[in-house]
Amino acid sequence: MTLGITGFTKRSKWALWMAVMLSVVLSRSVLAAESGYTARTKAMYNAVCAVCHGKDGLGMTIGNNRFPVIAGLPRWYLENQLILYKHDGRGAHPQDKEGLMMHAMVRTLRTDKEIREMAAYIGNKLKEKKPYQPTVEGDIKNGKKIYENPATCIRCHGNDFKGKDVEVPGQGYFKAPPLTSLDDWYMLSQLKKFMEKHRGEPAQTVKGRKLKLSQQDINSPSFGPAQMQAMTMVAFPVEADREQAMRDVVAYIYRTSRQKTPVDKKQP
Amino acid sequence: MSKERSSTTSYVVFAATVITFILFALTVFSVVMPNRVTWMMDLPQASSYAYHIDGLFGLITYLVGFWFILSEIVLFYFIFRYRRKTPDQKAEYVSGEEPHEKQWISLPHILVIVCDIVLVVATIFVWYKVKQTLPPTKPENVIKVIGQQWAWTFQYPGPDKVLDTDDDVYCVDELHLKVDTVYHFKLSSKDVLHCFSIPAFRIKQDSVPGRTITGWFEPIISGEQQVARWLDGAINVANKQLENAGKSKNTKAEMTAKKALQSAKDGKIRKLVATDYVRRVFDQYDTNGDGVLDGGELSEMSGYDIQCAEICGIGHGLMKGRLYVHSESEYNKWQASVTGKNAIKVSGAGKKEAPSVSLSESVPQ
Amino acid sequence: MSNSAQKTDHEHSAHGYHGFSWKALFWPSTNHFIIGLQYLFTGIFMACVGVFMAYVFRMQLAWPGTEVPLFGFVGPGDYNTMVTIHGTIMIFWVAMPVLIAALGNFLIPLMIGADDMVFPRLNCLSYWVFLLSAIILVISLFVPGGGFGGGWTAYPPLSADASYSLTKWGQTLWVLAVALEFVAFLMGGINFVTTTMNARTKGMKMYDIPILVWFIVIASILFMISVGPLIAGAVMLLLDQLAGTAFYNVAQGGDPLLWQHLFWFFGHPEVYVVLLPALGVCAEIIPVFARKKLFAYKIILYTAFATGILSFVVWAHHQFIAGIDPRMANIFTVTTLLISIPITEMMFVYIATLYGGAIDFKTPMLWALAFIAEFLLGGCTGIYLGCTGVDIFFHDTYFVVAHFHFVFVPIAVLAVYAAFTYWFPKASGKMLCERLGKIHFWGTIIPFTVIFLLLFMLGMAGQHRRIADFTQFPELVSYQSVRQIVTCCLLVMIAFQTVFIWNVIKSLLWGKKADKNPWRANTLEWVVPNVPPHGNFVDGYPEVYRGPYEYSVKGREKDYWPQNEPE
Repeated sequence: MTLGITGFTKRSKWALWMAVMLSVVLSRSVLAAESGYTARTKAMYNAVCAVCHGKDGLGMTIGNNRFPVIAGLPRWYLENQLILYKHDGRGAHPQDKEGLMMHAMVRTLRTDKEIREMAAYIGNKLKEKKPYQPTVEGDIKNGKKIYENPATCIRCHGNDFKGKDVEVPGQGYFKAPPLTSLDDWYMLSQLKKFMEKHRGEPAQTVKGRKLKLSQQDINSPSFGPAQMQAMTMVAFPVEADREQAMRDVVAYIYRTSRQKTPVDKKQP
Repeated sequence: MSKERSSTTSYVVFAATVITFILFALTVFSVVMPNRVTWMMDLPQASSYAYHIDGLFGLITYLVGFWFILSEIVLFYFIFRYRRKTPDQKAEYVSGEEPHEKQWISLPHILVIVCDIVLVVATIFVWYKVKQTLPPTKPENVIKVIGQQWAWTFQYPGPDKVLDTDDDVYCVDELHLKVDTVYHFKLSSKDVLHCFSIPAFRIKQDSVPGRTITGWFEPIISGEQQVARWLDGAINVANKQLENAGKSKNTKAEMTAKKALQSAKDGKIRKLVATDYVRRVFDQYDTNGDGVLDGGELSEMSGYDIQCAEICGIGHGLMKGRLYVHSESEYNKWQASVTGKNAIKVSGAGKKEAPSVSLSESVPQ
Repeated sequence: MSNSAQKTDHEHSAHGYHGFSWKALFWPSTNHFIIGLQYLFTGIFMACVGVFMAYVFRMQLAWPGTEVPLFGFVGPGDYNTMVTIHGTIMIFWVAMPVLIAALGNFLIPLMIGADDMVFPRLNCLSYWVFLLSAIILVISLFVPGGGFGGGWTAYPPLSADASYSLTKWGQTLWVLAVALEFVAFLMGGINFVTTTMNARTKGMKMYDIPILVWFIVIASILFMISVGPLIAGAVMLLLDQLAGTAFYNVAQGGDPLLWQHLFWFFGHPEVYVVLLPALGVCAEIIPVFARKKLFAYKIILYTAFATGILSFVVWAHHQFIAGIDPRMANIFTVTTLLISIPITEMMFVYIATLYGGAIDFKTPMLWALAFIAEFLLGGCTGIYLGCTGVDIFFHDTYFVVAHFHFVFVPIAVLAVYAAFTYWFPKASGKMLCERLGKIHFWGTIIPFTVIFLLLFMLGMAGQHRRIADFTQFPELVSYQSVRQIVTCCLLVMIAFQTVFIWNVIKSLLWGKKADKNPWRANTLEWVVPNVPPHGNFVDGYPEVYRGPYEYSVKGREKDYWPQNEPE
């Protein structure tokens, strides 16, 4: 144990051990401080979230339920969404079947600190890529046309689908999450939810009460989800074509972001 | 003991038991029952039939408790009295087959059966009242309760006072009611079995997918009444503290008591003057941690829990709701805040109803 | 009677029993003693699993969100699985195997003067099917998706569709394990009933049969009659889970309430299936240590039959608010209150047995008396739940949990310890240490009583079952300290079980050698040598001259009169 170095007294051996132990403990918490989560967060994720989203965050299909991939989403977006769920800003619409499930499950995160740590764990640690499994068919060309409408999708989600994590006010840019890691069926269902106003209600109108949100991000006029609602109205103006148009866009996004179609990327 | 003595003694003991029982029952019914004792810890009797259910609980406790205590006393008395004191102590030989021996069992039996009959009658009364009657009410007081994994949705008739129209109000996990109003609830489930349970009302009903089950309740304590009671309690405590401080000439205590008294009159409760229940839950509701329960915190405190009482998946324990009972004016204010442009918009698909099954054919519709 | 028939069944197969050995326990055996021990040890192992689960979920309840030592973080799915499997194990893999199979196998041939069960190979098969069911249940905890978490009652649609339960393999393995356990006990039950009715030794009339034997027979009959509907229901559930049928699926015309009725039609007689052997154990122990004849043998027998019959018409008291017609609820509340009457009578009779006795407070007697005292409370609180009006409030609350633990723990723990400490000398040839036994006794009883009295209180406060974290509910947050006290008492109770384990090990290794009849009892099992040899009554079948409870007979010098003593 002394690595062959002689001359250690009993007391100094003890001191050396204490130093080793202390550094292990400290480094663990330093590690936690750096990465933003603790061992407990990981244990909690595995016990609570992994049941549906998988230990690797790649989602799961159980029976008729498809639980979406969450690996690859950025930490800021996960934190925002968890806070929205916690404070009835998302998943509180009576017809949002999946959202209501998350709305209940997020109650396991008791404090804002736990939310931050969970977002940090998923955002920083779970980065695996899900294998390519297209389920939504559509006209890629039409999808590309809708996506590249400068008034809607490409403006915030970018031509590389990577989104923007910096808000640039005054220029009409908003924070937007990347679309590169999402399941195509999930994107389709979320577009529908934004369309039906099951998701993205502005702060005040959910349950007729002001939301207990403190995050500046979410209360600002550039509240992403509210913007999404507006965007869907612009992107899919004709009701008759709506369903197919959404599929086209989703098919385009899913395949192009995984480089499965040779489509030219348009410059912003 | 000889046969005759055993037989006579058993009759005497039986008679004594009956007399004790009657005296016990008279005491209980005349002294304790009228006080509307709530046994259910801190749960208020917040609905019109909660008192009856609690009363039945009390009746069972007294009747069954009598027999339980009596049996345990006899058991422990025998254990003590007939313990072996010397190694060669002899026991008696009692076969239990003789009539005078069997009497000791069969006579108490008669009284047990009488108690059972009383309980059966009492429980049928209470059950009939809660589950087999449907007091009439206006159509504006019919609410749909929909359980699903893992949330409660409440659908109110809205300003036009008719259910299943476009202006219906939808709330997730929150139920708002008017005090002193009979409500009918139409309970259904979208997926698995859930159970709609409001402990403060003492009501519970499983929600079965594919069926609409009707029930009723009438809230009798509004949030404002609860808060007023707590504030009154705080004022009393503050006054008492003021009096004591005055007596002991403790100026500091006098000042704090005065401040607390003023807060209570302004509708806030300081921890110092909180009465029992309020003190117990104080820290839980003092969300901003300032040591004072203000109006918002008090009105949150005056709500009741809604629980799901049938295991429904991993989110079963997270499927909580909250119930708020308002006076009519407060209720109208709330309704205004969730209608019109503030309403949750529900698309047509959500209005499809499960086939309606009335609770019992004897229930008037 | 059929003694000659039994003699010809003594084949010495390759797996024949040639005297007890620990190795024999791991091999198929047709000997009733070995089979009894096999059931016992499997039951004890499963009890440890069940207790571990109780430890995990109680730690989660007391300190929600903290990692439980030896388990880790308890998620909501884990919690549901823990409570489900805890309940399932304790009823089907602890109470039944130990009380019916272990005791029945060990004692019935001995008590009726037979050399073994009448169907020894069926008996052997029943154990190995049982073991398979236990293995399947344990495996179900480790499959993808985890163990089933829909409550031991497994109501569909939750249990029929993995979309709802999220435990695709766990739920199927759970149903399979339970179904196999039923098959095992059907086979065992056939043996108990047939052996008792046909293989009694010369002179043993119906009313000379010890109450324990009678009660195991009645329990077996109850089980056999009631389990059929549930097996049908379980097959339907399996088909719904695997084959897309819709027995319980409303969208395609099925009804979830069908399962409930089939389940509880079995479920209620089931509680009497486990209660009767426990009462039988007390019926054997109390006369021996009070040195008094069991009071009114015939009344006990007839009330047991009455209870058994009535147990078939009370099942829907588990479903009062489940969506059944409320008029039906009135019928079931009447029958439920009715069934309390024969049980009350039985309790009075046991207490009456103590009258005029000379009670010796040896460890088995302490356990048997505690059974009476605690079961009385359990039974009395059942009245609350049987009354529809109050059940509206108490259904699915901790009041129910406290009630059934106040009946089940006396059945599955107190009576089991009573039986174990009482028949340990016969099975092992050694005496257990009395002092350790008494320490273990008090260290179990006191925490147990405190735990469940507090749980009654929590139930009255509106605390509902199967919820992983009560701090989510504002009305219940302030009772967190009560939950913590309950968990601490459980830890104390678990700790005291180590005293028992040490007692057993110590006694087996270094204990005092036991006499053939250390308790000076009358029944026939005390006639055979300790650690019963092959064939039990190697010196010839006994002849029975009287009933089993002739203690302190007037005019006799000895205060007991064994059944096989002619004079």
